[in-house]
Amino acid sequence: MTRPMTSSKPVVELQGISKEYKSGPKTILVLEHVDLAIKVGERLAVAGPSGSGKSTLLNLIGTLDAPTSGRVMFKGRDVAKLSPKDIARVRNRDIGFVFQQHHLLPQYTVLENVLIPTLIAEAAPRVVKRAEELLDRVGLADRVDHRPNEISGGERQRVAVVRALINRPSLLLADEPTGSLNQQAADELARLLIELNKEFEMAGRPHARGDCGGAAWAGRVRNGPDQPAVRRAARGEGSR
Amino acid sequence: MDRTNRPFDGRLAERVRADEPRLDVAAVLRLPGMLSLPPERQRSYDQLNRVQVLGVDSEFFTFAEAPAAVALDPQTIAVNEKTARALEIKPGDDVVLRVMRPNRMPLDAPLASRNGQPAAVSVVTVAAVLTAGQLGRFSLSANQLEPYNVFADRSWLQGLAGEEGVANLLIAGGDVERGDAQRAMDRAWDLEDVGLRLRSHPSGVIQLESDSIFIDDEAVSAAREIAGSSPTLTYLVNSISHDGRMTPYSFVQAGPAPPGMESGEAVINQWVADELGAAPGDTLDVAYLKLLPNNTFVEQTRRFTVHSIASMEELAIERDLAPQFPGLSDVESCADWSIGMPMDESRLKDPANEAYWRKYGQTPKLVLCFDDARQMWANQFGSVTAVRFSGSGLDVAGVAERLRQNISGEKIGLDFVPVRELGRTAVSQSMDFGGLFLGMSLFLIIAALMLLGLLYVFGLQQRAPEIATLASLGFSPSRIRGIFLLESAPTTVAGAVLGAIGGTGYARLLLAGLARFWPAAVAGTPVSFHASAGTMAAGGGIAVGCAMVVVVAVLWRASRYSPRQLFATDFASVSTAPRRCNWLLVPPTAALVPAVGLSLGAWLTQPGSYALDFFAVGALMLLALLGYGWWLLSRLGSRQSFTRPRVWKLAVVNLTRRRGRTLSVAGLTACGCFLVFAVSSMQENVGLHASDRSSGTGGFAVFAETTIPVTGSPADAGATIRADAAPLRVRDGDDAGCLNLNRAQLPTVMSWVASF
Ligand SMILES: Nc1ncnc2c1ncn2[C@@H]1O[C@H](COP(=O)(O)OP(=O)(O)O)[C@@H](O)[C@H]1O
Ligand SMILES: [Mg+2]
Repeated sequence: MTRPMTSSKPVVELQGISKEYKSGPKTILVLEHVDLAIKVGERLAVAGPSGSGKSTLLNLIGTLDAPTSGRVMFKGRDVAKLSPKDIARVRNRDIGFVFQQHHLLPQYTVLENVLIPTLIAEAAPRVVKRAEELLDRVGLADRVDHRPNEISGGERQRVAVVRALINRPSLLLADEPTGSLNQQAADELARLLIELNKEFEMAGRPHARGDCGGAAWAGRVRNGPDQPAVRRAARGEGSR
Repeated sequence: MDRTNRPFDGRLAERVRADEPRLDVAAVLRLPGMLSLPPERQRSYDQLNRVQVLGVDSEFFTFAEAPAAVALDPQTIAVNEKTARALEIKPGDDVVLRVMRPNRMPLDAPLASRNGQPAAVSVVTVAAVLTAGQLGRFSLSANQLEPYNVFADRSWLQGLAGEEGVANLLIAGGDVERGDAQRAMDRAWDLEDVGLRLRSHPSGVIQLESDSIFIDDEAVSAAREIAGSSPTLTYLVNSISHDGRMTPYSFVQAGPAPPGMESGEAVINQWVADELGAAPGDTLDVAYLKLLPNNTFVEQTRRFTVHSIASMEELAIERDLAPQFPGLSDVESCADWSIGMPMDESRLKDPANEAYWRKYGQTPKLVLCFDDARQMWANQFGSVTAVRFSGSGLDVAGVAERLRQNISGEKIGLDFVPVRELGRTAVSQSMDFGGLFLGMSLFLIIAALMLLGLLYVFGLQQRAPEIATLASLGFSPSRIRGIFLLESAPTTVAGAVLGAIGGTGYARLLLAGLARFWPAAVAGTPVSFHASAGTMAAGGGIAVGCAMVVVVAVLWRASRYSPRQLFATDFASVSTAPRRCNWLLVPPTAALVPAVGLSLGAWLTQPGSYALDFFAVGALMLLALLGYGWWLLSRLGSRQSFTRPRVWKLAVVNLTRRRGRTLSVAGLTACGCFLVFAVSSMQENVGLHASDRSSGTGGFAVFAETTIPVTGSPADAGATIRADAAPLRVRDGDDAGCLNLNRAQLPTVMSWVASF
């Protein structure tokens, strides 16, 4: 179900990834030998019940966490070997992240929140225009001067999406972005993501909700029995 | 110069100045005194004791920074501000001034005159109140305390004290080394200045005598260096008796012995031989009063064998050369004698003796060997009443010059004391309150810095998700640090500036309050505010630096966590994994060992000052206990379990969740308690153990000080204040007690008079 791609080279590739958490005396193996490649323009959803390791996987893809073993290759470069500066650059330029909680900074307005990633990348005037266009696109044109606590949960999540897209990332990661929204807002956001994915032609990895309902908009649902760890996690056998 | 109050001719100042024109010299008559309000104004605090009364001339005020345009007329005085404040007097007010008369001889020396009042009183008008710049603070002692000063015209004060032309203090200044000044003094002084005089007798004998009856040992040994000199001692004995017959109160002369006379033998005059019926070979009992070191006299008796009898004509020269004793030599009748020894009134009226006195005056009744006399009558004031010079080619001027050369002005009390230098030394070695306060405040400063650090740690911990968000949006760790530093810097700098301004303002206010309302708290030290830009900048800089270090440290620590961890957990909480944490016992033990060692060392060696040890041990103990606390929390933290919930377990969990915070709070509290206990434990109630001999009071509950010396035995003094009293003789000097914050340079010396 892959969309036609401009390039068949993967944006990000996981090679034999394992991830375990240490909690007190126990070690919890969440992911075991996961191999995964995401290509430009591809839409992919990962489904699984709560606690099965979806967030863990997403954090690894998004360089927000390091695997216990295995390699994360981003555009052909081993993330583990990048300097903090280079990782920061990758996060800023190539990855857009939408969290389950919006993680907007409360002290800034909607527009400012959207512009924060551009503080590093682009020159101001054009970026402001683009931010306003994007906010307009998600229906928040008249909310730019509000602060996060002055808008609704769905609106916040849309701001977070715009923030994730502002630097034209090649990979948009969304970890249960609709998880804290009601059905209508969730559907709206899902539609938006699909449209944006088409418009911006980027690799997308929206993370579906545990019941797979949200995976409807994903180009590919990753839940196969060929991934023992994911499967095991899905059966609640993640810990050992 | 001269702290011993030895009076000299006031014109010595001019002679010294003439010798060394670069020297500014002023003669001062400095007398201990009292100042009180006239009866109509009397209140409970109407009298000031231990007032320094300074008889000065215009020369004196040239030493002032801001010379006062005060003309001191007779019957007027100027006072310093402290005196004016204490008595609430102002120019134009009348006050009663009492001064102690200068004395050439100690009041309690044997044969010293008891005639005349020891003090003189006059009602005077306050003409001016002198500021410190006008020499109002004039003091020769190295003490921060300002004396009560009264300035009067010197010649008027001399008249009041009955000592015309006399001064007892020379102050010198100008561009002259102390050595040069002393050399000028050595050239300028005269025998009269040190109370010595030479008398020549037609027989060719020249005799050296002293105003203070007994001659200084220094002068005696200088005189003995001149060939043909011999010391003599004249004394008054109570009685000479032989075979049931007796003559009272007789002068005895001891000097060069007649050829062949040995120790224990005596020459009597013809009158005594007739009166007592004594002949050569007979024995005489001589009863005399001996001055004991405790200032009491005891009567002792010694037996002498008559060696020979001298005719009255032979002894006429002795009559002429007998030293002049005020209150004795100058009275008509023996009954009027008044000297520093107890006398029996009825014996004084002995008619035969009265007749002898009328006819022969001070002619000695008995002549002894000098060594016998010295054995009996030498005392703390000396053992020689005159030195005689006989021989060819001696004249008064020659002997005077030889004596001046042989006597060192310094030893005899005519030395310049470098008071300013001594003062400087005293201050430079003074009690370093800065250090003490810094030691105290060190704990306050540590607590403040801990508080500051905690504030920043908490603030940043709260913002961990923000840090994580920024990191996930592509902000590098250094950029995040930059953002937070940029954000904290202005606030901390503003805080530091505000703190510096507010702090100095508060200090200024505190000092003003201290000086105004509670000067006793600083032992009367004049406190003044001094701020240096350097220390303020350093203080502010340290605060800002500390805050910045904390910010950088917290962010550096945050950067070691992945954004996922920063989002998910609170990065300051430590992992609850079980830890082999026994090595944590090493650092606190390393702090405890020296702390115990220092305490033991201080306990065993009893050093003079515990302050440093005290604070060092305190700081080490704080570190050690915090270290043990950390260890304990680590152990508890690794053992927490909720299988059976208990409220105390909740508490333990919360305590161990952030050990740093828990211990910071504990450390802050400890610093505060330490300060409170340290300050309150260092208070000492002096009165509590006052009756212990080992306490600072020496076991005396009350200490009374008189402005004018009290003479007599301890019992007399005790009777005066109706208590068991131990009199002390005091040589005035710098207070070496705790009220003098400076190092005493010439400490007050108190000598035990009584065998108590
Ligand atoms: N910091 C952590 N320490 C220990 N275990 C964790 C930690 N974070 C997540 N886990 C465990 O890893 C598993 C996967 O979690 P997660 O990836 O958040 O699941 P999902 O997002 O699929 O709900 C869960 O069983 C969870 O308990
Ligand atoms: Mg999740």
